[in-house]
Amino acid sequence: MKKDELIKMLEKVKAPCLPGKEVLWCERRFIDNNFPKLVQMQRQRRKRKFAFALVSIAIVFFIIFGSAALNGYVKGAPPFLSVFGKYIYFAKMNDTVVARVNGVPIYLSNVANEYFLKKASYEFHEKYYGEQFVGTPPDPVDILNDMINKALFAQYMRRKGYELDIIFIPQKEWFDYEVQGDIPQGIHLDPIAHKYFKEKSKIIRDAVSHSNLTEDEFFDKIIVPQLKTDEYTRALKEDIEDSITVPDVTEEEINHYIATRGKGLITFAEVTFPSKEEADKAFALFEAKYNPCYVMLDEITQKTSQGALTNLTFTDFNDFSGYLKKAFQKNKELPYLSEVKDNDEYHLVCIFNYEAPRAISRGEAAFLVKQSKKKVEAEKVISKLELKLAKEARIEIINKKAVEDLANMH
Amino acid sequence: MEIDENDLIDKALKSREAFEKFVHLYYGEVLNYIYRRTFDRNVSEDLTQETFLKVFNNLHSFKRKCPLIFWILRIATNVVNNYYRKEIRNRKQKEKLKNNLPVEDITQEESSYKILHEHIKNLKPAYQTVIILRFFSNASNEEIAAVLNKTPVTARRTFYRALDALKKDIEESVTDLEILRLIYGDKNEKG
Repeated sequence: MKKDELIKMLEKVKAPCLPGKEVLWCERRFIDNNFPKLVQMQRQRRKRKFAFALVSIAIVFFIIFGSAALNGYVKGAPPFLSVFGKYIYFAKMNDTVVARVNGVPIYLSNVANEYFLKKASYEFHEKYYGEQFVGTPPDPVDILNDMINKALFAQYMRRKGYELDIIFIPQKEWFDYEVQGDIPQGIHLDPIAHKYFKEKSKIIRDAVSHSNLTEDEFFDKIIVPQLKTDEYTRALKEDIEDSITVPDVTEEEINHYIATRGKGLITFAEVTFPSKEEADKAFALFEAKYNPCYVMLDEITQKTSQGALTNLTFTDFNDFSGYLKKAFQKNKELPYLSEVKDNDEYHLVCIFNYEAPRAISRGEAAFLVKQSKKKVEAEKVISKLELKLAKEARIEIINKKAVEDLANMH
Repeated sequence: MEIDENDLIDKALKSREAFEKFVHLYYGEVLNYIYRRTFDRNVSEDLTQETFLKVFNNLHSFKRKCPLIFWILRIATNVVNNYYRKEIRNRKQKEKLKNNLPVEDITQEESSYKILHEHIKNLKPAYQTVIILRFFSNASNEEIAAVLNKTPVTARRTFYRALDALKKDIEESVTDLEILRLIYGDKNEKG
């Protein structure tokens, strides 16, 4: 057979067709069965398309911010994220477990939360009040150890059947105010406390916004577990203190207490001016403010970049230097501002706190010594319990390096 | 009445009226094309339904560079080819398909086509498409090229190769060749 022959043959073949009626039935069946389904599918496709677009945008943001946060983690903070916000974001991303206490994880974000808030508080208050008032800077490893101990105590108390029946309502209300950055009505904070409230509010807001949690979730997941372990620890310490009996207080102990604790304490800040005009001008300026002493303290700190408060212990009023003696006024509500002249110098002195040296009765001293001994003994018992629990528990330190690295973030 | 394809595409899934119009316009042609490829009414209907579901699900991606029918036939071709691929994988089903042919229902014309169809079915899917479109759907070379998504030159080359393959297949079955000659060749010459 030739190819032409085949072509001719094929051209003669009549194409088989389904009857028109059957085609119409098929069409009708298809339309009735599929139109609503296809319209629905089209809607879903549009929704998917929209969701896809959203996810794509989210991924782009995730990549940008993720790399920025990572970059910040390695090299230093990017300008648009605070250290804390960046870190929470980074920690959340990794959901890094840094330790396990009997299988219960402690997350890096929890340690970071505690550490950065403490660090912020330390740096802020150290700036205003000086190192002697704020102690040593926080250390992230200490914070982790503290969290492990508190977790051990909480587990121990639960095993003992202690039920924590607290709803943290005031804490939640205060947290809401902090997140909003609004000081509750009726509360008048001094300028420094006000500044700290704003600073803390910024830190918390930053942490919440980078944690992918709502405010309520953040409070429930990050803050409440911390409050709970604190509450268990407090209850445990109280229980131990109540149960402790200490030996009778000796005469020697009473004498020693009276000799050392009978001293007075004055806390003040001062500025010296060479002329009366300048001192008067500054005095008028501060006096016009709602909290003159804190305004003055704020100003000194801004100028000198260091804490301006001074603590002075004394046994007799005559121990004071001339201008302090002149500035001191009995029965004046603390803190107060005084302008005094001393040796041709003009001083503005703010007295923040004053405890007069006092003669302690032997009975009072005996009670206070006993209380103090109870506390010491309780601490010993707690330390022993801590060691015992730690020995019995399964404590796994999984990523100490990540915790240590928190201290290197600037 | 002139039909605006673009308008129909835009409205097809928005109003039932446009949807019905769309289906009515192309369904018969696609159903018959698939029927010529499978020669089974039930299978044709199923595959046509599958084709149209794919058409509506992908209508947004139709680039409107060629008439809509060629795009739909391209989808139908893929659907049929996939169907045969599955059939080959499952020989039992293939046998069942053969046995399921509603022989008693088919007309004289269909009966004579049946012999030819058995040979067409032995060809590669692309060759089957070319033969069916060229001889039974009266498509031009350009239209075949559009359905195959190839250039007209390639489509023509495929057509001749398909013819060679079909010729060879028919020649291998002496009885069929004689019958075909009797029906389409000799009968015509005699007439």
